[in-house]
Amino acid sequence: MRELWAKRIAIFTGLLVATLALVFAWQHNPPKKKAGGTPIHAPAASQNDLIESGRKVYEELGCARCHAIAGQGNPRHPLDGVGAVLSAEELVLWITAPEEMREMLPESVFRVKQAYRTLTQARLDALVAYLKSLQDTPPAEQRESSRLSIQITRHDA
Amino acid sequence: MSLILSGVFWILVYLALVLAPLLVLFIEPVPAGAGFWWDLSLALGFAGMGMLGVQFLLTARFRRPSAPFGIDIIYFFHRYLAVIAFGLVLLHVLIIAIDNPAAIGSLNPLVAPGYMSMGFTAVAFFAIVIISSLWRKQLRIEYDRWRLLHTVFATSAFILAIGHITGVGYYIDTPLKSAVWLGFTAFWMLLILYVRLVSPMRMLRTPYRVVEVLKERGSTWTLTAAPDGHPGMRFQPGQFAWLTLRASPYALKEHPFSISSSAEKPERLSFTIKELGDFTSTIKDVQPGEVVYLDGPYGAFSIDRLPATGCVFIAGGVGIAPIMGILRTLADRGDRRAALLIYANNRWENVIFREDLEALQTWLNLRLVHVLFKPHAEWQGERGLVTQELLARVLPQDYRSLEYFVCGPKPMNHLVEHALESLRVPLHQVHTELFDLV
Repeated sequence: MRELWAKRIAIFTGLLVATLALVFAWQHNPPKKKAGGTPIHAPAASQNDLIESGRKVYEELGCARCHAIAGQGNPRHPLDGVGAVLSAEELVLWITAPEEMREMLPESVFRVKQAYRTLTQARLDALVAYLKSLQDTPPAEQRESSRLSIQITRHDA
Repeated sequence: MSLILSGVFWILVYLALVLAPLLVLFIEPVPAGAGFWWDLSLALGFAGMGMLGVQFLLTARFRRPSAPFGIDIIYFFHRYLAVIAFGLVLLHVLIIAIDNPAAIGSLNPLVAPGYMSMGFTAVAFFAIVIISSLWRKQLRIEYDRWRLLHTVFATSAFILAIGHITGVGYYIDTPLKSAVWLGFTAFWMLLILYVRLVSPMRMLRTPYRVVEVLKERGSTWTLTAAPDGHPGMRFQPGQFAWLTLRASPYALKEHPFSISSSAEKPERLSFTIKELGDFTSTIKDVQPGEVVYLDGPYGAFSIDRLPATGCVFIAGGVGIAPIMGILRTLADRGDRRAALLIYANNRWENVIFREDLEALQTWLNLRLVHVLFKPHAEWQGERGLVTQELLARVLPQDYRSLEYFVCGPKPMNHLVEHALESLRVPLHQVHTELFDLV
């Protein structure tokens, strides 16, 4: 009898918290279109190689833990369209977080980004080229979120 | 407060504690939605943490919250809840891994950021805790070693999980949420400290001394201890205590045993223990005067909790221990309520307390029915298992109005419970002592 009730209450608890988790996810994510985010212009062959190298650098550094491109990666800080918003110089600043960026980043993120200052110039150039290739304009609500993430990004590139 | 009201109150407190980490998510400002599956995964992670945090409370052995239910069932509940909580934590990881593998990144701790490695390690540790608890015997992990492993891995996993949540930081990055989360963390940490430091200290200050160790039938021993320099504990007949022998209360080497002596004579507590494993095999070597630490009393398997007009006790083997405690108490109280004891054993020569039970019939209105699984040739009594047919044969006419106390090996308990259910005995009148917690 008591064992039965123990099982029932445990299952009830599991269902209750799972339902609340569903409500939370549902409430904060009304149906919307998925962002685009793939490169749209047709770069030259050598530029293509550079972009491909940059994509590999992006993967190797694990940037997707904090950023998303085309819906893959951490959706809190999407990079779709970042190439159309930031210049190459600005991208370098956001990636490597020199001292003047300290004010604009949370301390933990600033610290993490210091590691990217040791990137070789070739790898940094490739990464910037890849990010510059992300020209797609995301849907309106995504654009807003993307803009915010670029301004107050909290995690590493 | 009645036991039922008290039970409802503590269930509500429990639900509030489980839900609190999840409800923090709903406090404004909530970060913009990051996708249904992403947010569901994170919410499930918080939900799992709420349930896992409560595990420390469930196993802290607080007497008042556990009294309405019995701590044995609290431990069973802890087990069910932990499995469900671990399922939610696994879902948290799997949803991200399937929906958005790029966000998981590398599992290599040399490459992955610290907070991600903490998360992965926490999941692995939780898995070790669950697997080693559900299949301890099959994995041949000795009980004392398992307890140590269980404590170390569960606590480490919880701390690592908190590190993971703090490192990710999305949902706790406002001052209010940070404060609430810090409060939770502090609460659970203090609880761990209480259980591992304060509680053993209390036991250390109230030691008992072994008075005697008596040989019983069937490789069983009765260890009797008396309080040493303190008044001892008051207990209800049928309850049990955790016993620590030849070790410090800090050593996590304690084992639960039913009290088989009378609650009317709390100055001497007896524990009847069958040789079944490493620890129980050492009882026979214990000498009078040795120190023993007791943590108790616990349990809801007691006649004192019910206004019973009559009782049926159904015992199997050493499951007689708590029932013997009840019967001895009833005898000391001069209680003449009708009682029936159905006592199942393999062989006649191994029937623990055989002579004592005969003697108790003088003092109690007790009918005794022995059931032997392997009877000798001359045996005239009941034989086989305690089945529905047997019960129908031996129970009195008013059997549906009686209270039932069942204590024996798990298969016997289940068989008896089903048999009583088939005989339409209301389930709330059937009280089963749950042995074999792990």
